[in-house]
Amino acid sequence: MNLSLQTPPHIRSKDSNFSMMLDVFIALIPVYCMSYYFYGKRSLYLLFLSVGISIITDFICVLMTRKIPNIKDLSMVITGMLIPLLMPVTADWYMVALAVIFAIVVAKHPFGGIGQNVFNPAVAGVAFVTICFPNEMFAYVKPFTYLPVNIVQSISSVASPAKALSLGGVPSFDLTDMFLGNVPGPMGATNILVLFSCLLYLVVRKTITFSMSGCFLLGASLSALIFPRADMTGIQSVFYEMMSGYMVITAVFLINDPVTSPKRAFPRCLYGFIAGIVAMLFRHLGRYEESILFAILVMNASVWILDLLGEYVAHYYRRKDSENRESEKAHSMAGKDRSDI
Amino acid sequence: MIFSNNKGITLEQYKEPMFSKDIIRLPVCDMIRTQSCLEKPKDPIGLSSDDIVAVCREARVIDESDGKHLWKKICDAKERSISSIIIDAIDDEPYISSQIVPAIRYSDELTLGIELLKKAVGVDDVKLEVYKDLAELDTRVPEVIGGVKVSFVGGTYPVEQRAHRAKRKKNSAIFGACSVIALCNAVYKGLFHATCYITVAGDCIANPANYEVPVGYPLADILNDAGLIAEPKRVIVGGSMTGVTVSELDKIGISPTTRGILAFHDEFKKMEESCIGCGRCTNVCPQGLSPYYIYQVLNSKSKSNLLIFDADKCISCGLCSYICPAKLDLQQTVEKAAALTRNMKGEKE
Amino acid sequence: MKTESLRKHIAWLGKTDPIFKGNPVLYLGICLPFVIVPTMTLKTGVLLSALMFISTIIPVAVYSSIGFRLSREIRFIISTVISTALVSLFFYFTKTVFAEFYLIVGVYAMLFGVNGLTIYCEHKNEGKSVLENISFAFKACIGYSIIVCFVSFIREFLALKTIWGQPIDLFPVKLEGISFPFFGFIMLGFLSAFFRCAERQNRKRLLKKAEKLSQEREGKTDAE
Repeated sequence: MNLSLQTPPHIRSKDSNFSMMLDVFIALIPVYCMSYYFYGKRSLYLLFLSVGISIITDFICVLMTRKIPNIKDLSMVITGMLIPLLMPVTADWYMVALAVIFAIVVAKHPFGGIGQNVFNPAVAGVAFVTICFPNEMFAYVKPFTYLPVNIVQSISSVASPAKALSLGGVPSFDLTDMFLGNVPGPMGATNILVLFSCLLYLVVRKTITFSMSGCFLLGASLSALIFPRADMTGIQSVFYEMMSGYMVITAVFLINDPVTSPKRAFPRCLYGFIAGIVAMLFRHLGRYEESILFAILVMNASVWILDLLGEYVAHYYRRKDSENRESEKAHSMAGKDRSDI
Repeated sequence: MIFSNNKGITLEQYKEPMFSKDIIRLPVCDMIRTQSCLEKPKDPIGLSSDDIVAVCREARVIDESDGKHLWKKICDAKERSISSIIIDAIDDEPYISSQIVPAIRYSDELTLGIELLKKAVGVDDVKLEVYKDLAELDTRVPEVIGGVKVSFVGGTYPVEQRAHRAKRKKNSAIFGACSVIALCNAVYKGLFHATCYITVAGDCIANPANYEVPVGYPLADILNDAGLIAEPKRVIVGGSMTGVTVSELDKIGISPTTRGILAFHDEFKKMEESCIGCGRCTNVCPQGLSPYYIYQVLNSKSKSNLLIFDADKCISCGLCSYICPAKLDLQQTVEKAAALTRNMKGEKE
Repeated sequence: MKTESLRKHIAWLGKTDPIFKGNPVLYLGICLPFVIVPTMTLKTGVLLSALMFISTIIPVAVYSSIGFRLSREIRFIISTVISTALVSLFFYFTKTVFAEFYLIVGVYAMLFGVNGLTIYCEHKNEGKSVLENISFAFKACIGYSIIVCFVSFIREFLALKTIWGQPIDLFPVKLEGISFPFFGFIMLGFLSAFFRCAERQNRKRLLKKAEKLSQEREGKTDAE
């Protein structure tokens, strides 16, 4: 018999990298179904374009860093699927391509590839394209406008709720419409109901924990409650801010990236909470109508501090625990000596 | 909640079908039983504590939970003047049930053995501990085993290690259930402790069950007796989380501390991928360590800030490797870091 | 065994140390803000290189000739005063001609008075003759200028779609994000990696050639 020698433990859990990434892939499918329902074939065309370019670019970069490509590694597919969701349906093909290439070639592989990147690649790619084409990135159309795959004539764009809020006014859309996604906005970020059900699915499958998303939404809601951006009550401001722009899609998909978030429970809650407050700060002071992506990039850069804080706190508690145990041992030994006499 | 150090997870147990089957006694054991005989004491009930210890010593009863001689443990317990006895029938590792099943099937012998033990050590307070989270079993664990009410010990893996470490706090001594049965056999039937109970399981075994085998029986013969339906790629001696893989089957024999033999079809080495930083290893460690950071530090060039991660507190339970989705070998990494930490601390002093 | 070509290559690397192998911007990270922030157009890049030449070579010449008599701190103060004076004079006489470029460069023009390249040249050549000091400073400035001009050329081409002020239509899209400072960091990182990779491949190729030659020579002596 040809037996192999392995180190313990000899059983492993059923989860694997592939199953975790497959869960996120499955959670993104309903979002694309809704964007197809609202905007037609062009959303799927952008999806296939971005996923195709991301697979090819990632393959080339992996070969350049002299590693063996892994078929079961779905991380670039997830990046490719997330990028068109943050863009309007009128985005040109070169905007999507540029975002994907920037995400993989500049934000992922120079930092070490999968598992070592500091910044979320999808967020970095879309942020770069926002800086390069600020007007085209926010040219939304009304839902149920089915655009052809090749846009020949110019489209008149409609203002989204985020634009109204950034200018200091109250959005003219009904809250129910905003909850169901019947407003102009990015392709995948408008349908709040579907996004919350995706969050529920991911939490039940144990791919993500609810703590980070919950603390993010809590931090943002508190800021919106205390400092409304427009002339409305605090509660109204909370609802409008939550349902406009990238807030919910960030809470569900972008902030929960396992590589770019802290590892322990306490730093995670702190990270989510501070990210929510910084996101609202960027919304108040940013010059684009939606600047949450830059807030996420800033928070990604500060993850190492929160992790170090978590490690120092854990080290302190471990030391206290071992000191207590040693003093108890000493007491019990002393007790034994006394009884022997 | 956030700062607690007693984390860990409950593992899926996979104890069926070994749990509900009868213990299979190999024919060799009957031969050994007829051959080896001590002098049977005439009045087993009226024996004094020293007589019980003497019989135990002659029969060479070994405790399967830590491998020590039972007579030495009894004398040690008497010296420490403990206040209670704990019978260990905790089987918290998946697939293994070689303490709880003999305790249930041979509960009469266990009752007599517990009476002898109580007399030998000189205490009246006895507890029998069984792991609580045994789900999906076809037979129920009875409330009273061996005349003692069962105390169900719950908690996250590793339960047995935690129970062993807590014994000093509670001023009690732990004895394995199979050794108590062997003590009864020695006193009432005059048998040496020449056979022991192991679980043979795995997806390559035709007849997975608990077996009673002679001490020193070769592994290859055990696998033949249990039957192999497929050629195994890994044969493990011990528990599924803490056991050892072996390659030369005819040169290794069973000892009383072997809890089980597992034969599996698949290998993990080829499944290793790159770490995605999910942080599950950190959430699961019962000692509160961070295997993710220890892995990163050991793979980088400078190991100067290794001391803050307290790698020498690792108890080698294997949960970090178990839960890792990238199938990394985290337990070995943390043990290497523990050795490095001890070196660095020794140098400092 | 090192062949003639490998020996020549290593000697050439030693002579052009501050330009290619030990380029102060790419390998040591000296004067990074001057390369990242104000390099928007090729004309400003040329202006920055000129400012660097002015503010480095003359102070180096001055303190290498009188420096060994004075302590290190006084040397630094003298070189700073001289370079700031030179930069101010240059600015005074050219502020009408290069007005728009000084708008882009901003405060960095005056900061050239305290740039790190002067300190690097002085540290590398402590105790050497005046001519060696001046030639090292000259080569360091050339190394710096190459990087500055390249970065500003790329940024002008991609972000403004012009070269030296003339509009060019080769690239279809105008990427305004490249004129932001963060992209300067990214470009420098890629350039540095490219330089290191090129040097490593060149060395490998020459070493392989040397090994092959030495094996052939051993084969010949064995045959004889």
